[in-house]
Amino acid sequence: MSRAEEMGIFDEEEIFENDNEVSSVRSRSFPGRTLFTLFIGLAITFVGLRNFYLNYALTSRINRIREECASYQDVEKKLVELKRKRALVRSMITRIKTLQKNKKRTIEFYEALNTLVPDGLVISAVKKEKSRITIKGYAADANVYSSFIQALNFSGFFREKIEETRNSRGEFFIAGTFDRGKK
Amino acid sequence: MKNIGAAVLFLGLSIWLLSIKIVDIEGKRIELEKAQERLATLKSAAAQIKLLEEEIKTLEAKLPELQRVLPSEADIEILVRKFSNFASISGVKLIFISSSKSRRISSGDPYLSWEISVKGGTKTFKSVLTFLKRIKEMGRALEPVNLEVKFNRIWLKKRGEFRLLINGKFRTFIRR
Repeated sequence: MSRAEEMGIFDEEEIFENDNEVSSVRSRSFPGRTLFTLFIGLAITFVGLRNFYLNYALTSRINRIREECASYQDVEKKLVELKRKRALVRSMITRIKTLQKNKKRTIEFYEALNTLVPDGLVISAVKKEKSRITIKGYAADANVYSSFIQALNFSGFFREKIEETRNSRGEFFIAGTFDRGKK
Repeated sequence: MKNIGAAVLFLGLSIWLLSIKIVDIEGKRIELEKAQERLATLKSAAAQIKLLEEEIKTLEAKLPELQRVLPSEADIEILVRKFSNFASISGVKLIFISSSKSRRISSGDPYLSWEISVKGGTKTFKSVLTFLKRIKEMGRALEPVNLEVKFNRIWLKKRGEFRLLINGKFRTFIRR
């Protein structure tokens, strides 16, 4: 036995001494290769078929949902109609309530004005136009005038602080936004 | 037998290639999501309908009670007469009183806006207040859109005679 044989090293030439022997080894590896190709082929076939199946399943599901949607076709129309009706009824209620509230509140303002005006202050005109109130008058005394302004500001009839001007002759002009009160 | 693997591989590849050419899975998924969203929207709309119907019923039940305060077209004349009556009781001399439909009429509105314009003169602010108080106590809903009181050379609480002018525009609605 040679040294190479002792170490387990062989040349191919030495193992397969002739072509017949090589061919017989190759033919012995055939089932493995075929099985591998078969497996790959089957896997790809499966993926392709799965795609077709998924397509079918999704399409039929979409169709089912569309059919269900069709059964609700009047719902949206009805909803729009009902919302319009609700808005109308609400606006009718609001308008009536606003009429009542504004009537009461405006007249209450004129009643309150009678008690708010201090001695020494003259009013020449009070005007409520929509939600704007203007008061014109004359106040010789600055203290009397400022106490009137304070009383107006705390009366609750004005939404914001009132605008006021008074000239050197004592003539004043007051304007403010009318507060219609809580809804 | 040797070529069976290759044949299956070829078949598989053909099917797979055909499937990716014909089938658009991602597109279908998006389509499905959209369809599901639409269905959910419609279902919630259907659920809302019941609630809305209930709400409208409740609101409509309130309406007749509130509408009682609105005059009818025939009542406007009565209102005008009432105003004259209130004025004479309060010591306000009516200079002018008129009623007219508001020009702004939109279609579909169940109400017509109606205005009553009043102009009067008196001697005391108390008369003005009495006149206004009468209007306030009246059952009908009337909004004073404009209300002006002009004092001619007077002190608000001054005794004696002076002249006041009232100019008012009241608004109400009548049912068509």
